[in-house]
Amino acid sequence: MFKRVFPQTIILISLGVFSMATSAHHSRAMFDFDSAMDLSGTVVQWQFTNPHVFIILEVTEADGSKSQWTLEGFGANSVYRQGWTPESLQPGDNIIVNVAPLFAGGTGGSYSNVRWADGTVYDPRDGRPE
Amino acid sequence: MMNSKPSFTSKTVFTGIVVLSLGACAPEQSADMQAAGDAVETQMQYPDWRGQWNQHMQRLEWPTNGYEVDGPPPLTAEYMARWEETHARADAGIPPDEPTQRCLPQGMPRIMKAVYPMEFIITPETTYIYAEWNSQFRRIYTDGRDWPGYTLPSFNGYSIGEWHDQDGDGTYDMLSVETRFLKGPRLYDGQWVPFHDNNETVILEEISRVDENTMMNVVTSIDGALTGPWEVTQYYGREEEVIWQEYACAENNSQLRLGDEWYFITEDGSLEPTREGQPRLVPEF
Repeated sequence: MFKRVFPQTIILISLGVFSMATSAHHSRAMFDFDSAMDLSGTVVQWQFTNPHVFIILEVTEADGSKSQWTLEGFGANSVYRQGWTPESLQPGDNIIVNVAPLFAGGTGGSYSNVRWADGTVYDPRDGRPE
Repeated sequence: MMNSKPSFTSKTVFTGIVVLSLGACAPEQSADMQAAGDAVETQMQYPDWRGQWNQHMQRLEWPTNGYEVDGPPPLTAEYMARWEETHARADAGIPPDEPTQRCLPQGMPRIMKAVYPMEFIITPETTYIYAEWNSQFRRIYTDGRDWPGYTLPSFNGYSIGEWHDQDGDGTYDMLSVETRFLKGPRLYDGQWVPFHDNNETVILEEISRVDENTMMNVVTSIDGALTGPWEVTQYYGREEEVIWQEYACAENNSQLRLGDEWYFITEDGSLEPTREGQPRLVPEF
């Protein structure tokens, strides 16, 4: 049993930037991290809240239809200490995020690794580009 | 930025109170009062634990510690089976019933993991521990009181502490704490190790400062789900950049438990299923 727990610890340590607050609120067991995928879209809302921040992302599907994803991040208190602020993302921003979707499908998931549309990693401590 | 050389301590405050009191006495009483004051001051050597303390896993360079690495827990066969079932269900995409997911307080001893920062506020009668996670206080009575005959159980329980001067230098350096009257549901941490259903848990702690930037808490859990006392050492590091924030869990919790089922609330108000076979619930407004 414990062998399964310990590697998670190692992974969290190796990520470094993620605090253990990532597992503070809940287990994230409802998200399928084995099926994580990149999702490109336009920010509709950036909700800087606890227990999680959210990106509401409009995604254009292959057939041209649009869908709105609700993407959960870590707690506002945690990401603020990493440099994120309520102004870090703005409606209309075109971004790419890595998303672990809900196990049951649907337009919800847990996001990480925010990048600009050109693939540049968004470092919140650098602020928004001019 | 933390000031590493405090100029204002609880000792200063209470010494000041004693001095002010002496000033109001008649001269012939001053010698006796001074002796009393000296005695009081002898009892008032409290440590400087000010600052903001986080669990060590918040930083890459800090060692891992606590429940994640001090396991496996010495669970009885019954509760080990429960724990394994919880993990098996999670592996199958069925989230466990984690109380904090419902924005309940993490309770003892989980609050002392300091996933979010905590602060020690020391007075002679009570040491308060402020936990940013859920913006809550723990109250540890150090006024010599006895256990109450009964008190309502609570997530953080009822704590009685005692200060110790282990190196005999006249300053307390370790706070031992016993916590009883706990209620559930609680878990040790995000690994979902369970407590006994009877909630008759007793938590013992020995909190001390290792060095300028490190504190240590030896936490011993005594619980019916364990085969014996479970001792885990938790370290805390002092943050250099002190930022205190409010934490209101109900502000925007996307996770909703209905009966035994978890749902994920999307922005349009729909309840997305979290496992295969659940219906998608769309409210009609």
